[in-house]
Amino acid sequence: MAFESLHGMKVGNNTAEQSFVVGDYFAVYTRGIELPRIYQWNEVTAIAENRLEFLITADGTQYTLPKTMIADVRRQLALRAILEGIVAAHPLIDYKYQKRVLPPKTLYHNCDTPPAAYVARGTYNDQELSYSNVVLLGSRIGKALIAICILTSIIVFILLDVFLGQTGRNWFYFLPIAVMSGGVVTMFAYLVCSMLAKYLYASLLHVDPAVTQSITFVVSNEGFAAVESDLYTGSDLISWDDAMFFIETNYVFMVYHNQKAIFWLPKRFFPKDVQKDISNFIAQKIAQK
Amino acid sequence: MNPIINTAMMSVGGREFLLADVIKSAANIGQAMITGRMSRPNDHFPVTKLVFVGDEPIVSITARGSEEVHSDKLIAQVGTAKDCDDNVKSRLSVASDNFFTYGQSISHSLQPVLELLMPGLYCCYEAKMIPTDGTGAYFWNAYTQRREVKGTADVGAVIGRESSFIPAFLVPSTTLADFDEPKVRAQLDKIKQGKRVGGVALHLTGMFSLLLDGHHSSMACMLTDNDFGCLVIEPIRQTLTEHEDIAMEARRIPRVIALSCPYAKIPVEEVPPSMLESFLHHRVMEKPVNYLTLKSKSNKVLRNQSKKIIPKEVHDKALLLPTIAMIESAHAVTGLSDEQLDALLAGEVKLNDEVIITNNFYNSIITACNYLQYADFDRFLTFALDILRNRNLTATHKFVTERLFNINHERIYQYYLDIVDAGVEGGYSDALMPAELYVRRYETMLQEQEREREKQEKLLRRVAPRRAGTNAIVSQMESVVSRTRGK
Repeated sequence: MAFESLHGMKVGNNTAEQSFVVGDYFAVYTRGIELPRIYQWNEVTAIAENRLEFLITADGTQYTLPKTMIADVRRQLALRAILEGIVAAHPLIDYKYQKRVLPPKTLYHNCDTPPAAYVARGTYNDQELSYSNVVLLGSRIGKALIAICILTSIIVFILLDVFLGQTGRNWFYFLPIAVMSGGVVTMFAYLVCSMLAKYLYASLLHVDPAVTQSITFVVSNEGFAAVESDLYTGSDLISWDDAMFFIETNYVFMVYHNQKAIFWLPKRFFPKDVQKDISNFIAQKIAQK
Repeated sequence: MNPIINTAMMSVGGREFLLADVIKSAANIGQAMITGRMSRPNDHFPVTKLVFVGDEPIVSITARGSEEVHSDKLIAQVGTAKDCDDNVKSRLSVASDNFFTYGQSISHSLQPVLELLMPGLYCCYEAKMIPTDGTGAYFWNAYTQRREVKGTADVGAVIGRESSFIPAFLVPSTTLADFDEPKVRAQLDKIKQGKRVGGVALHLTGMFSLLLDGHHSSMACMLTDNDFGCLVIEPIRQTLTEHEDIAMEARRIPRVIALSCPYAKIPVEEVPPSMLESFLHHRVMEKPVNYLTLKSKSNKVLRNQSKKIIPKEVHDKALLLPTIAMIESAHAVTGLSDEQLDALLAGEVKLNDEVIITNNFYNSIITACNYLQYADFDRFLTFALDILRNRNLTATHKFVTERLFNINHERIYQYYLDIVDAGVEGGYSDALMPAELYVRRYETMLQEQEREREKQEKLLRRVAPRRAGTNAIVSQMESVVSRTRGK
């Protein structure tokens, strides 16, 4: 029950071995056969998307829709939106997808954006996403880093005691050395993790072309949305009931669903005072962490 | 934008129609689903569909849920096509004039209208329409208040998914304020001249269509007891799947076998390939560009402040037109032999160990009456009067009496006259009151008709000498003109 107003799409052309039409039905044209095999979506059991193709399994047959058949990135994203909208309406379809920044469209429901809503349009900025990723990582592994710091300090202290001895006389030197060692190790661990987070984000850019597109962001009483502007219908929102909590960083608001950040709203699209209003507005809907 | 439309004449199951694929168009006429509230699968709160002409929402259709196809819908007129673009109105009237008055082909006549429709596949044909709300009320002012209308379910209880039917009942696209007597007279004149008049209708839901053009023609047809023909346009949005038993046998989910609209079920293999592909591309929930304008206008309340009154004769004649129950019965019953009717009159529901209609006697009588009234009026009268004469079938007398009461017919009059003459002593004490009312009404009607006839005759006697004089002048002028041309 989402993105049903998007026009259906043809994947492939008449020279391909198989071409497809994806809309209210899933039709498979085989070269040399004029009549397509028309599937209703309740005949489809699984849909998967990977870097190279979409896979649709219907009536025991798996059909491959290579992304190379759809040269335009925007058309690829439209196809993804149509498929995810269909999955939203047919929850029995097993759907597998890759990591992404924008919320999966399976979470959306038919609902018009009310007139009183915060709406912004623009592209994500590498810095804000990368920084937020690192902050996210920090918040996730913060306790682990403190534990590493304490543990390293204790271990260094014990090692100093074992190898140098005379702790009673030298503890004044041992203690700062142990604490500093813990700090250095923790800092190193944090740096490694940050680099890992940046690498993961960079790999996400390869996987999810939506990151480079213009995005329309909506925060309203009924729900929220972050949709590629080309696909924004004005009639699809994610309900606040599907959100768990949100985190506010220097750059973005992040709304969580099932312990995953699904909605990244860059603050720079709004003036300072509006940012405060949005923060308060979201806080009325879901808990802040 | 240049409109692109492909058309093909088709014949499926003995039904001829024009299949039109609107690829590019102005999208001035169509339907828009209002998605006002947060909805989820299996939600059952009302879903509203707006039918629009130009930027004007005309009718709102509210269903219990988007997936609900078996329940009747709430229908309300929310606007009038009178307020829309003149270009749209003129194209609609040109289409019906071209087809009915000038006898042009359906594809040529409908071209200007198809250019106004939302892109998609359409089935177009000519059909006799019933200008009522399905229960005997003339359609023009029948939907000013939102109400549940019988026969609006996509799939009816009797008329199933696989049945073909004509969505013949009408919903107006203008209000009664737009009713103009001179326009009706103009249509009456056309009919008197032997010309055909008709309209253009767009299928709405179930057995109902929106009359886009021809409101005055419908009234003229009613007044002259002519059939009201329309060019009907049905959007093809649904598919028909194979029978569940076949799918069960093959252990699979039923497969799509045909494109479906009320009038025709077109086997997939018979649809031209380009049109089939076009059908697969278009989605039911696609929105028009003016969606937000329509939505903002949809909340206004249509106030019918008109003091215009539809002639009583039209209302009376509307009562005699087939109702939804009759058409459903006609679909439920394939035929009734005289033996079967005799068995029903004898109080039986079975003949030769076979159920005639249903096991319920009362329902059987109702269905039989509906069917006969729709299919064979003379047999209906015979059957209905036989029921009333049968003292053992008193449980059905009330229904039959009500059904006969609105019909002005010599045989019914004679029957009631006998009852009135027999009086209380005749043993028809229950039927005496309706009989007296009927006889009085019928005799008044006869007197009125007699007076009308006399008036007409007088008028003709007065007009005839004048017309003769005019004819002489015309023939003189024609001879002068021909002589001049000869020179």
